[in-house]
Amino acid sequence: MTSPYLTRQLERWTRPNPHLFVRPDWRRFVPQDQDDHPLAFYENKYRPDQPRVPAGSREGGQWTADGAGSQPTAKPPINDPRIISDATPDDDWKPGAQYAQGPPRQPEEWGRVTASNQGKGHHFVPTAVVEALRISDEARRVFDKARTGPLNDPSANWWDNAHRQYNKAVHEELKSYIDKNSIAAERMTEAQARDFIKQLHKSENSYIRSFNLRAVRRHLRFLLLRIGRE
Amino acid sequence: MEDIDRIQDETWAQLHQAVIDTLAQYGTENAFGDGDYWINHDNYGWARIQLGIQNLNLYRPAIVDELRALLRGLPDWAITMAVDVVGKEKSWPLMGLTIRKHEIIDGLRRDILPDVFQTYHYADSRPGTGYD
Repeated sequence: MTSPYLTRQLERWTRPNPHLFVRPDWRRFVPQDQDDHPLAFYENKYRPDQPRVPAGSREGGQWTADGAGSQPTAKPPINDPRIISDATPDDDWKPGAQYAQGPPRQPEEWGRVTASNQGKGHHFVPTAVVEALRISDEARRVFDKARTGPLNDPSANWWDNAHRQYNKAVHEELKSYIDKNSIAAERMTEAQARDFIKQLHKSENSYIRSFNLRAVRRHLRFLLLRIGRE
Repeated sequence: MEDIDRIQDETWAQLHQAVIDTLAQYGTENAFGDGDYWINHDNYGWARIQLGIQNLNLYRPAIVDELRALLRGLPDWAITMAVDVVGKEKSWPLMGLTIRKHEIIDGLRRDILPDVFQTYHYADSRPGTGYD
């Protein structure tokens, strides 16, 4: 069972305004290639144009308020429509602040992935799609690593059948990418595979977008519950 | 926590392979709806294997019993068989079976499915939903 604290945090993590509560410097804690990490979904969805502190400084990559120069944790004005539309009046959470009970956790403990968890999660490019298009081994390795990590087991309908439609949508998207760029699938490079994943994260296809957002949210819930147990 | 993750990983892999082997006797797998069934090959860290079923013949009690037998010794695990017939995604409600070692949750809508389903009865089954 979760504590009231964790229940509250779960509500925050699954609300549609994550830029208010996901750590603005989350990129520091993810081991993968930073640009195609699933958390990038949130940035793409809500503030694709939000300025960042340039790389090279300790705050590099952190979000910064519009026109606020190098003040990475400055809050948007209270009449910002993003807050009016989503946040509750008592939402006084401050990006980057330490709210966990007990001693502060080290950054490397966030979402720690055990050896047995490394192969788990939702593949953004399903294996069946890779096989159907006879993708090169080089690109296949990239697609195999591109996954969410373990998901929280949701109290959702276990007979949901959305995944097949997701498979089909990704198949069409990858086929289109290959054709458009005149790529021979069996010679697809690692760089091309990475580029496709970035494109997939920005896809406007509703099946792809909603399925992936749901998977990412479930992964966040998994991480939060795991942190709460350890 | 590492032990829990490792046990889940090993159990999932074994059960997943057993389901692949079992269903291969009865049809062909296709992830895009062009076969008889689809197995979700992603391990999310859950104690279950998820199937999408396109060919309704796979709900024959004998096949379901065979799948259930794979859960012997795995009381916390489940195999879900979601009805996923191409072209019926929007017109049919979500329905299926959840198979566990000790019970089967039967959410197959006999009022929608072909008449032969009136004769399908599963041992230790009870009516339910995909939330049970």
